[in-house]
Amino acid sequence: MPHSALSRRSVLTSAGFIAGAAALSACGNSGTTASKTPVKAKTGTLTIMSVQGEITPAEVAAFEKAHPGVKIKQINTDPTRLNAMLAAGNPPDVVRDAGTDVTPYIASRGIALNLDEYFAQSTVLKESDILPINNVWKWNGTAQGKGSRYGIAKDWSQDSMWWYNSDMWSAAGLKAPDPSQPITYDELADAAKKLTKTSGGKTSVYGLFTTTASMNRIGAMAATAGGRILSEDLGTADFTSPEAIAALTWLVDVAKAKTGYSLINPSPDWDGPEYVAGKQATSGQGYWFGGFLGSTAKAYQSKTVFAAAPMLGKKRVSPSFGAVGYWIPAKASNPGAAFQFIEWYCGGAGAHDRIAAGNGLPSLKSMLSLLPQTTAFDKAAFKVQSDELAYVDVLGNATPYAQTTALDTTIAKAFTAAVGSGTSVAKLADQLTKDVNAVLANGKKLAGK
Amino acid sequence: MRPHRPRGAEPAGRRRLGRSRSEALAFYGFVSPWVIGTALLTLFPVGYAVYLSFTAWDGISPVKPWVGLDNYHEVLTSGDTMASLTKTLLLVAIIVPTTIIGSLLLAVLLNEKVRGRTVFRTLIYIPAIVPPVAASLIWKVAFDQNSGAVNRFLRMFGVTAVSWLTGSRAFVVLIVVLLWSIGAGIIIFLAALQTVPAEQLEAVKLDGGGPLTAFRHVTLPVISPVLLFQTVLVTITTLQTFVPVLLLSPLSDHGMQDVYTNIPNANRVYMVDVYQQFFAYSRYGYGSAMLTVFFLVIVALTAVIFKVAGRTVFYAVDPNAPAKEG
Repeated sequence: MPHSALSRRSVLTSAGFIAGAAALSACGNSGTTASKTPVKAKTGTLTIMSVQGEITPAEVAAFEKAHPGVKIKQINTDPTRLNAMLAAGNPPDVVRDAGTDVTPYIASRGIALNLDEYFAQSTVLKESDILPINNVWKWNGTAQGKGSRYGIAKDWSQDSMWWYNSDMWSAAGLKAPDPSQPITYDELADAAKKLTKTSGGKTSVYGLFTTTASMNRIGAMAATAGGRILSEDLGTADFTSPEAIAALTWLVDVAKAKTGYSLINPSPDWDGPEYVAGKQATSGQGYWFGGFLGSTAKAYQSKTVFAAAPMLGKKRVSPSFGAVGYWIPAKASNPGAAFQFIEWYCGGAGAHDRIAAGNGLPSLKSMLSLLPQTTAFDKAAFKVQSDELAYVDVLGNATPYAQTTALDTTIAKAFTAAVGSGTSVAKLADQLTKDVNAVLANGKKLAGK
Repeated sequence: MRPHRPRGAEPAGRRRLGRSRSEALAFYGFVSPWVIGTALLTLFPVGYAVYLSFTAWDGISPVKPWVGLDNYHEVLTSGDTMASLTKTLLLVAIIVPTTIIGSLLLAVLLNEKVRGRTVFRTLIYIPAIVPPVAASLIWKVAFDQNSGAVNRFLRMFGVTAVSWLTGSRAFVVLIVVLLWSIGAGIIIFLAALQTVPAEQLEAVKLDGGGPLTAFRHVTLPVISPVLLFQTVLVTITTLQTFVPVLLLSPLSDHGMQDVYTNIPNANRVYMVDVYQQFFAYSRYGYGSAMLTVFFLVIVALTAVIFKVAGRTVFYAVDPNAPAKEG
């Protein structure tokens, strides 16, 4: 029976998915401290700083129903307000953030609560069930990816992966790549040239997704060639290595070619709206983008293909640029209830619908089977994602000495100036190394190092 | 035993004293909300910012490391900061004279008794009542490379679509947006022109003087206090340019990150630099030092304007004369 055959395949794929994840999880185990003090949740108001509208009123109502006496108060994500609240010693109970970017900074400064005891006592977020991507939320005092847990992803994706419009791809005379096998960045740039439609200086279709020169992007590209930007102690940066130069060269070339949005030609929006409006032939988003298409442009699913992260060199690495989730400030007034919310939203009933809709990968292995596998689109995306999962890694692009925003702002200034003036990539690399190291040096000085 | 004195029969001296005391109380009562408001919402924050400028506070940590004058030394020697200050002063050098001369000339034209004068006045004033946010967004759409009206218009003449909102051209768009609200200045000048005595203009005419002579020797002196006011006001608002820069930059819903990375270098004026130091680099101490220096620059520029204008501004009433008792 076709139905049962398909189901069997799905089950087998899921099994492979989970087995791979389990193997990686074992490699990334941190050995958290044993539980000592029982975690208690107080009743009352639970203040969550998150992106407006992300936690829906229905989810709030469901959480409050499951946790009588706790009332959620949401405040919109606002770094300025968060800083002011932290400085005043009156922070929110839960903060939404990108684990890849913030963990070293918030953990090393004692701003975030060490959640080892909370995880140790949790019956929802069990250590053995947590996917290794959540290692980005770990910090041991010197390195990201090891040590104590300071947060967990609500859902996540491998953000170097990409999607393409198969109709546009074939209309441009391009041979469809095997989605599970990574193409090279050069192949991608060549394809983008053929996909881009320009007339009279106006571009009606960009072939390439938005490529912003940032720590995450440059670091991820360099990693596929076996390089890294930050030193092991996270105190200095080097953009002059051959791997970083190769990444910068590619980013400068595609920015100059204007085959996609970049820092010198910033997008009026993110990839999603541009892609579904037919203005972009590709979208540089991870797995969650399939869920976005499902909820906003379902018709696009039939002509959209999910593909493995491209490579600059020979090493297959496919990181997350966010692993967006939650952390609890050290001075939160109700950390017990805050963790209850994190359990519920990241691994409990609150995560169920989001994961089942394909809006990102779950934080728990046990929830992987919830990912949509009904339609041909779902199955294809699931298969590609399953294969890709083995290549997730913590890149160490964040540092305790500066926020990633500071590093990205520094990169943006130098990158746009260099591309605008025609400066060579070698000089740009020197400039970036000098400027980013100045920011890091200032942070180290403040940290007394 | 003190004699009984009927109500209202106090001696004149005491009555005056009582009245002046109650007047004083009323005065302090009325001004106190502003005095308290200024103290709490201006003096304290300014004082606190000055204190922060001597620290290396990151905006989060409980300690604020004292660094003395280090931040000020860096402000005055940093190439980036000086570049943003120079860019801001260039903006002032372009916007202030263009706005003042342009709005004055248009006001003089609109003051003439021509047909449809009211319609012209309304049309020119409308941009001034459009909120700056809406105006910036309108211009952002109009200057869009791929779908904007400006490029569509240029294409009629065979000009290839231009990327207006990026690179050095973004500075041109910023100037256009800032000049767009010139109508507000026109209205103020129009009001000032109504105070020019008709008999003095008539006298110039009788003496054989032309319109230019009348403008130079009668109109300009009469409206010179308004001219001074407008110059100071436009200078200060241009120096503080920030919101239009933000709104003209491509900002998606990626969040605050775009505010830091997508602003073209050409539009990184001083307040943008300050904003980035505070919120991208978490350098609250350095940002505060930048603001203190900027405050001093504004005070100095204003003082220069007053000094220069002091020789030319004509006051019909001596501003230093004591107020008349009512």
